[in-house]
Amino acid sequence: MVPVRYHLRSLFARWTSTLASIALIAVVIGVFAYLQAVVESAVRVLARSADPNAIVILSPGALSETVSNLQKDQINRLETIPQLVRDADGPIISNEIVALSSAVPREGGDVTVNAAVRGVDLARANRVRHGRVHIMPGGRAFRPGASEIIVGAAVHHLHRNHDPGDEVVLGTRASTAFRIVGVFDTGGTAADSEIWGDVERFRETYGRTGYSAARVLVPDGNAAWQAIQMAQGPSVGLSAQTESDYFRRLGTNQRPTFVLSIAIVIILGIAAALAVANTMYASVAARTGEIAMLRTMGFVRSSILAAFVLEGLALAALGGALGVLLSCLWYGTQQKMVSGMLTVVSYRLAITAPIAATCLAVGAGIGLAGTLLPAWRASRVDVVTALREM
Amino acid sequence: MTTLTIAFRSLARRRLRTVLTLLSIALPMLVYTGARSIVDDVRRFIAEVDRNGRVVVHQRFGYTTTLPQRLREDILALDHRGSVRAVCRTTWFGGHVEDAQVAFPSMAVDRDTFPIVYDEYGFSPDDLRRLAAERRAAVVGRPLAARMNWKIGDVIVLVGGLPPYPRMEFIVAAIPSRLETSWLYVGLDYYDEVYREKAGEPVGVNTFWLKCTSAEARRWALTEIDRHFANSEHETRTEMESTFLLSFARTEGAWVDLIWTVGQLIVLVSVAAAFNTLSQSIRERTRDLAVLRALGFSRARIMGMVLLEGLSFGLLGGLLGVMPVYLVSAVVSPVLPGSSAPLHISGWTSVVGIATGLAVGALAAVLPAASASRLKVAAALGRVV
Repeated sequence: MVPVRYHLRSLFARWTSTLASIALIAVVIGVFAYLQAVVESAVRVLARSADPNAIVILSPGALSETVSNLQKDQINRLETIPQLVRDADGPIISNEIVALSSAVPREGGDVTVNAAVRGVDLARANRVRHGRVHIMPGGRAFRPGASEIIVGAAVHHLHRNHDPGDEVVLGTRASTAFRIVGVFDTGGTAADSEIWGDVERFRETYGRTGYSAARVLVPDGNAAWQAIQMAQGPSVGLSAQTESDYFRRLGTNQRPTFVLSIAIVIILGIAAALAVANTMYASVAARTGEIAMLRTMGFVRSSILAAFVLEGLALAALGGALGVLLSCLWYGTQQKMVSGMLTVVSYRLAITAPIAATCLAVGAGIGLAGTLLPAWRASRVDVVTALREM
Repeated sequence: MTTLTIAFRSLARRRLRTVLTLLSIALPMLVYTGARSIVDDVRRFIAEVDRNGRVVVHQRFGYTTTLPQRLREDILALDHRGSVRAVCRTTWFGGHVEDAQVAFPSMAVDRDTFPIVYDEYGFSPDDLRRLAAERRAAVVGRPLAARMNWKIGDVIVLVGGLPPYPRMEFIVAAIPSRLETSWLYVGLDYYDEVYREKAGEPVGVNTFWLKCTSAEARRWALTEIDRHFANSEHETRTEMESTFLLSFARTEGAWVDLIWTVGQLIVLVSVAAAFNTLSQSIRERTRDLAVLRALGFSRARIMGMVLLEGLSFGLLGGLLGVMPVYLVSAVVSPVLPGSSAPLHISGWTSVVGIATGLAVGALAAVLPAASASRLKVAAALGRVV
């Protein structure tokens, strides 16, 4: 094998083009990591909200909670499903109302966006969410029946005038002012972008005769399947799906972003591989004499091939690592997306270990693709001619 | 021998390298032009839409809350000076084809005024006749009709997306030539009839679109309608069409911003690629350059030569990256995933793309050109000879 020192020296000897190649791969991989993080973090905020053992009940035909309408007697029929998790009073059913309100985005302007408003019985809503809803210190829960609301931890990043103490006007006729009495945190789920209040108070405010959705719990996946069959069967006759499936459907509008980012990365990856090939071809051409010398010293063709491939891979690894670091500049920044309910959901951008690993692998792939042909040429150098020309 | 000839000769010297470099400039330029076109499409659409002279009236706190249908007459009754040519009520229908994976947006609209308020869609006289005669008429955007293989006269069955989720039959009545979105419109009267039957109340209206007769008429509409309905049971908010659309662009805007950020970063890729090639080529030609200097070429001329080489790389790379997408978009109008309108790459965007290519070439050539011009002739000649 050709000693590592030789590679390091030759990379340093042409430091400008080495640097340019590294920078190039870094930008491509940085863009890739960023795009991947945008898509994955967006899907994850929904997935994190998703519990395979919670079932979302909607009216037949409804695709999301915002357009679903369940009457009390329809919800009562759920009590006949034996698989549901129960307490002393019977199955734990959380009746919820979901409505949209308009809010001015944090960055201002005179255009408005949709905010999701959810009416709940806080104790029960928290039960079906496995106690994940925490009221942050300094605030308190809304009192049932009062014109009070609590806002998710991310709402502050999304909408103006949605901080504790502020009044938010809600209702079909936008008729009632609700005071924000607390902030709640569900650990980064989509609920953190919602506004919550008392379900019966919201029924009045929004003039609803029924509810939007009901959430129930089952002990395991098998029970979930049976319960869904029963809920959709003739005796209950409602639409039922696990929360995981529900959020996956709401997240499908992220797919175009994913498809486009893949397309962009493929095109850029090819460009980067070509540029690496360019650098390596030049480096091989400039080092024909050195290669011939190495060959006369007894290094075999395969060692030469390996030597140049290693050089390319080292470039790519450095560039890839730099690119991942570059994308980390956006780590933890608040991003926005529009969920399938047409409401804005805020999420934190995260460059996860799998993303970093994929990016490094793609970087190495680019390096390999760009190096193979030049390295092949290097290993084929005609020793005698090359030595004569030195 | 002119500077230009020398520049081109050196490009031709190492063909493989030139081709590789051109491609590694062209591909990022392709992505850049695509990204710019997406962003431009959105911005231009919003900038130009107000030429259609429309304003929208919706509930004061947002379009998701509905207003009663009779407001169409109330608004027309306010208009004493003929400011409003027509009012078209639109409400979300959200229909989908049963068991189909395809999703498209759909609205219920007034059959009589829709073609007047949206006259830019290019309804033919036949379209108008069918639309007026058929209660079950559906107006389908061209890309959607092509994708679903729907033709005039086809019967389609849609299930509404809002309670009571009516299952309704429609007849494709018009595929207007300039309706280049994947939207579908059905008759409000027919939807209302089915809705009333199932829900026991009339369907509410999300938005009222007013076609105004003049700029002054629009100013009147923007102030007087809201003033009239203030403190009534149904308070309104009247907006320019662009303002209204901007609220969607704002929510979808994250995506546009993302594309734009990425598009700009991508230019760096081609700068790095071109820089690499140029500095290599200069290094290899140290001797040639030294000879030229010895022959009496000035430092400035050497510098100009290298810059020119960079510019030709940029120009060719830009052309190579931009022209194919420009031609393709002009011929087939591709629809990108997640968008409902075809991507349009304008001549201007193409020019900007090529100019960006030039800038890339210039930027990449600055350092190599500087180092070439600083060449110490005696040392360079001595080193090689």
